[in-house]
Amino acid sequence: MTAPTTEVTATQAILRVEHVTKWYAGATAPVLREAAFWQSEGEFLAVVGPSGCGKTTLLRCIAGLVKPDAGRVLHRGVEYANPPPWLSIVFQDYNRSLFPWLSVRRNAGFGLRHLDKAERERRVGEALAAVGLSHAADLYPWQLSGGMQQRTALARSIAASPQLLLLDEPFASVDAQTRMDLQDLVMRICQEMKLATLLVTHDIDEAVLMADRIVVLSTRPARVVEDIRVALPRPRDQLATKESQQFLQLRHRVFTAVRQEVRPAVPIASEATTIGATK
Amino acid sequence: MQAETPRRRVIEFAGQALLLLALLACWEAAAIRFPAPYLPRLERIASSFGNLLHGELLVREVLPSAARVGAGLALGIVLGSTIGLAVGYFRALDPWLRPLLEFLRALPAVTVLPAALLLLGSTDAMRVSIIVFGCMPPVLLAAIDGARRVDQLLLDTARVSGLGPGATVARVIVPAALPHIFAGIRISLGVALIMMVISELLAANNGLGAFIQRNQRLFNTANVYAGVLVIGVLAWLFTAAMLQLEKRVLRWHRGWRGVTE
Repeated sequence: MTAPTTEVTATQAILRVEHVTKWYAGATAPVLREAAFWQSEGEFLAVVGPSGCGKTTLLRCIAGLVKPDAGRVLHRGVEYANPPPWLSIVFQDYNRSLFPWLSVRRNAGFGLRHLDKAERERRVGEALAAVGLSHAADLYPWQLSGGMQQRTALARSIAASPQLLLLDEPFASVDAQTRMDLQDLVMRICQEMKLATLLVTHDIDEAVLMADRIVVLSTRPARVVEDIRVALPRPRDQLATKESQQFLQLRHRVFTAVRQEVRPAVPIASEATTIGATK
Repeated sequence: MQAETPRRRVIEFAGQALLLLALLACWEAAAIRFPAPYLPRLERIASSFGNLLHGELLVREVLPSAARVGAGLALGIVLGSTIGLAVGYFRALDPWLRPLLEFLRALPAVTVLPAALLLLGSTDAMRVSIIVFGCMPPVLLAAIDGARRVDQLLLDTARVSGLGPGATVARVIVPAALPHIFAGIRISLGVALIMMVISELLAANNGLGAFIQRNQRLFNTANVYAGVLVIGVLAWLFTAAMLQLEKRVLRWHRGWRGVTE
């Protein structure tokens, strides 16, 4: 069932991660070990793994914010360093990644200074309309709810017309209802723009609901342990899709892959005896 | 609560005015009861005060003082925030400079006055220099702090948005550090006024400090008290102007702080 990784050539892949290894100073083991996967054009790829497994480090390597110690990241076959202009990110902490001194409109147009005013305004207007924030353009981020703040960050990302959108657990800090709204919004936008999207998450349901393919990472040091294709039909629905047999099977598969990674790290039996002994 | 606010304001104002009138009445009663050179009648203080606010005395005594404070403060703020942002941005500089900066902050600025007098003489350059010397450290340390505390995620966002180092400083670090810098400026403002008065008391032939000093020697006490009042007014004006500026520049910060703290 594992998707054949050889079918996509370098020219078809928008992103290719080759044997990326990353150490942090003073650590006894690397955060990432030989992580390798690819993403094809227009594909919605989810990277899931146990929490603290190095997902964010992987994303920072792909973003060019962090240089891998070994291995490389290729965009359409070309290696790059530093954050490239064809990529944008939505971070988890929306209240730390928006500029509190700028209005929603100016936050959304933050990376567009190189464009002339008319073009910038057009793009910002379109992006705000796409995320449903046209009415809030002149408010400041701290005047908005968490969901609206994250939509502002999303507007900033798509206003830059990226070829690849990175999402770093973007729905982890909002309430359940808002999370579903944001998931629907992101799915709709990515489908409309045919935008290659890389979602990093620890939420398995979210990954299965949103992605075309799921890459499962191991515990630290993270490497790719499974590559699962999600052939659910689109548009996907929070209720109908999640209740389908296919969804449940996929969910089961991803869940098993992730749990197998978590289990060996914690010897449950011995832990139980220790707890019993101390009582 | 809402409806009561204007009424409460009237009561507050009445209380303030009443207290002021009572104090003035006490002074006047004491001046009538114990006639002495150091207790001039209010009328004489008021007329001296009025004289200082227009014509020759305004130009000769008040404006030079105000200009020295303004120039010293402006220079101190510009130098302090520029150096501070640079030190905060290039973190490597900080450990080297930190002991020196902490020493300068702890040192009462007035102590360098005699040395400055020897070095620069009784000149405006000397007076402005020591005001700069006094009001630079608070701004500088605040700017270092502000630049260092910029959230890494904002800096990452700037990098991903394609900003170079210059644009990052102008569009991320400066705005993020401004609330800190303004907190430093509030301290500097007080220091600047102290340095102005002391430098003029010690060595000047014009300015409010010199005016007070000269009139004290002539036993012209009404002028001495009037000088004190004008310095108070000047201090109040500078503070109010700075608060207005802060309110405008940091309009976003009030609301943001209200939400996050």
